[in-house]
Amino acid sequence: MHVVVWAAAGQYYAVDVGPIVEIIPLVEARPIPQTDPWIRGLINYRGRLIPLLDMASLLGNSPCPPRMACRILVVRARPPEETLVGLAIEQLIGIEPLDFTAAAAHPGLSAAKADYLGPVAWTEQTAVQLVYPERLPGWEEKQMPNDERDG
Amino acid sequence: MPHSTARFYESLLGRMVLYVILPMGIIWILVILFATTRNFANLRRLSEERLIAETSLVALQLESGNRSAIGAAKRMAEAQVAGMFGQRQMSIDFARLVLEDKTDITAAYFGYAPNADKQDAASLVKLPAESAESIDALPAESMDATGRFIPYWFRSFAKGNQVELEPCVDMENSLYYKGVKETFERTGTAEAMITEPYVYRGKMIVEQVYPIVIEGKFAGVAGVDRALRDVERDLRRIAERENVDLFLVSSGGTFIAATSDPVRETSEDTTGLLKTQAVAETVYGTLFNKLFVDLRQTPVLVADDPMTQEPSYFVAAAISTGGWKVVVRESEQRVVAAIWQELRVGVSIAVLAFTLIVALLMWGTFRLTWRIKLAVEAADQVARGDLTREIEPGRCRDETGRLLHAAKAMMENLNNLVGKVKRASIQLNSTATELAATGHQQEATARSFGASTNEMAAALKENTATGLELVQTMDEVSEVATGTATLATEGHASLQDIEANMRGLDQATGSIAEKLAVINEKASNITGIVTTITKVADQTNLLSVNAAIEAEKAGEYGVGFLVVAREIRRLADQTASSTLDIEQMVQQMQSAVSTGVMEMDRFTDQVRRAVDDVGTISQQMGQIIERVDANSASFKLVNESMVSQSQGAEQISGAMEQLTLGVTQTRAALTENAQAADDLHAAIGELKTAIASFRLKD
Repeated sequence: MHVVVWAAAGQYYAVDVGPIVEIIPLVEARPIPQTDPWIRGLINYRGRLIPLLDMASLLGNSPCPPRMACRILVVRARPPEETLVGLAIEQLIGIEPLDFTAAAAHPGLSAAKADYLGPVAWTEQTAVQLVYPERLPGWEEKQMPNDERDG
Repeated sequence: MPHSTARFYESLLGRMVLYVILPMGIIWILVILFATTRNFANLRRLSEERLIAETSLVALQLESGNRSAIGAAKRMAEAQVAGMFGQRQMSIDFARLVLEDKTDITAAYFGYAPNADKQDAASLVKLPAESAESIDALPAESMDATGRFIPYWFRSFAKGNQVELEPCVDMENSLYYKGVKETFERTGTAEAMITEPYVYRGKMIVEQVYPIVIEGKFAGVAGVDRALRDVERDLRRIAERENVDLFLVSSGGTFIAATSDPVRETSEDTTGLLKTQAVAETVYGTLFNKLFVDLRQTPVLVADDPMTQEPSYFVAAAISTGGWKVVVRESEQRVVAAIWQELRVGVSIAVLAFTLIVALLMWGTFRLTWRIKLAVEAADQVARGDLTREIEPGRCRDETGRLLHAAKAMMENLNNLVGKVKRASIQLNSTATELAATGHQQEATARSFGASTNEMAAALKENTATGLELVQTMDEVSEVATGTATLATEGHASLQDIEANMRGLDQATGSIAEKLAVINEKASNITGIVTTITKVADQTNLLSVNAAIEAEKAGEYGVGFLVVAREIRRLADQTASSTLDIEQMVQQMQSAVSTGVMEMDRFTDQVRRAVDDVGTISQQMGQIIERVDANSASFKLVNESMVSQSQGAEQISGAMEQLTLGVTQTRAALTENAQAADDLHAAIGELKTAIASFRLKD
């Protein structure tokens, strides 16, 4: 499948190209207090506020450094709904067709306490792990009362 | 060039000795010699005159002796003529009286002609042989066998100088009788006669005889005898007193007495003596002949004594009474010794005075030249470049003392000047080193420099122009340094030019720093632009990725677009990497430029310090110019040092020229800048070598 390969916390990960809406440069987020450390806050994407998750914090120890190479993947979390979420990554590698079911691939470890981590593909001497953005934790929106939203 | 070991006659002392003391000494000695010679001649002449006077005196004495004896004989004869003739007893008594009265005669006698008083026969009868108390009896000793009256009274040495009477011996034939008689009968006048010395009755005598003339007829003789012994005794007394030798010569040319003869007990023994010898037959013959040629002149001869070979004075005088001649002999050596005694004092004083004067002159000259020598030695040392000498001028205030003072002041000033120049050269050296280091660094940086170096080239051109001016000025400085006090003035002015030009250099390097700052700014601009480019590349990258994503989503419709997206991405990547390179280069350039600015600042500081030092030097040069003007005579040595200094400055100017040339161009300019700094190093090294020949006291 065609995936967007990116790096975070020194390792390579991938996200299916389907949910990806756009890739934008790293921007400042409006922080939301009392949240998990990998939740950077809310960012303005083309006029709407979407949450920003720091993949480096989530998959590693430290947040994404403020470099030009860092990008934000704007993904559609639950298609076809319009819930967008931004994923801050350290480096964008490229768009590759990776085979996660090949003989060299690994389906992933069940001991991993994160179900957003998928199988690992082996390509060009590197291991790339698939990430399911819809399973990323902590970004659920509060449910607003229906009447308040539509008003 | 003065030598340190001049020969004596080339030195001041030697010249004084040669041209003043020596001629003076020679003149003095000549004067002394002349005076001494004249004195000697005068004294010799005086001695001769003294000898002549002495001889005359001796002659007079002998003459008076002769006269006295002759007078006695004459008195006896006159007594006879006056009436005593024929009074035999009275005559006998008279003759005895005469003998007893005159102590310098040894006999007195009468000698009548045979029967001159016609009493011969009668007297024989009156002989006292028969009656001893007959008062009419005449002593038998007064007559000979024929009754001739020939009484001879004499002093008897054997009997203690008692007077005795006896008849004259061999009267008729004797010279005294015959001679007087014949003389009277020939000339008709009664004339006295003095005989040659001969032996009479065992005694050497000389007879003084006078004829008795009764009524115009020869009647006999009266006479007195003098013993040669007495005459000789008198002569010896005189000779001893005057320390001369006397020779008495009779009228017949026989030695009557000679004080050179040894004294003998028996004075009648004349063997080996001059006494009684004919002068012509002795060794003195020729000499006395010469002397007696003209006795009226009282001749003086200097000759070797024929007997002793001693050079002596011989003076002869005539004794008119008796026709005797006396010769006085004095040893020449005695005379000369006496003269020298006189002269010795004067000559000693003259020599002493001469020695004193010479010593004074030498001492005075030495004192004078010693100080000059000191000054000459000091000047020699300065000429060799040795400034360590200490001069003690003392308190003397004359020209030589002032010379020493001036030499001391000059040494001190030279010490200061050379010391300052040394220190300035050290500082210039360090400046050159740092300049070279800067040049090398800039050379490395300029290798990869691009368009902005045009402005740097312009700045370096200004620097070169300034450096050329500096070189020109240094040429003037080097020219001036080879001259005299004028050159020092020009050097002073040139130093001020240097100062001005160094300020210009200071300004030029300031402008370089400005230009470098401009470069820095431009580099920052470049960095900014590069940042923009990077951002653009980044955006392009992002764009390409997004495009690729869309192309993927488009599936088969997006394949071509995917290619485009990929190309775009590649372009963006290339751009990004290029900008990285640019950024790197710009960073390097910036760091190099900032280092260069730092170096320039330091260079500027050092140039400023050098300017200050040059200012100080110039000031002191001004002071020295004054002093050099005052001491222009001794400045040749300093000027020669300035020549080598100016040569060094020339080389500095040449190095500066190269320095400015290097700065005007880009990489070549910077290379030449470094090259120029190396040359400056070398030039300063030469300056140091030139100065190193000076040894300072510190």
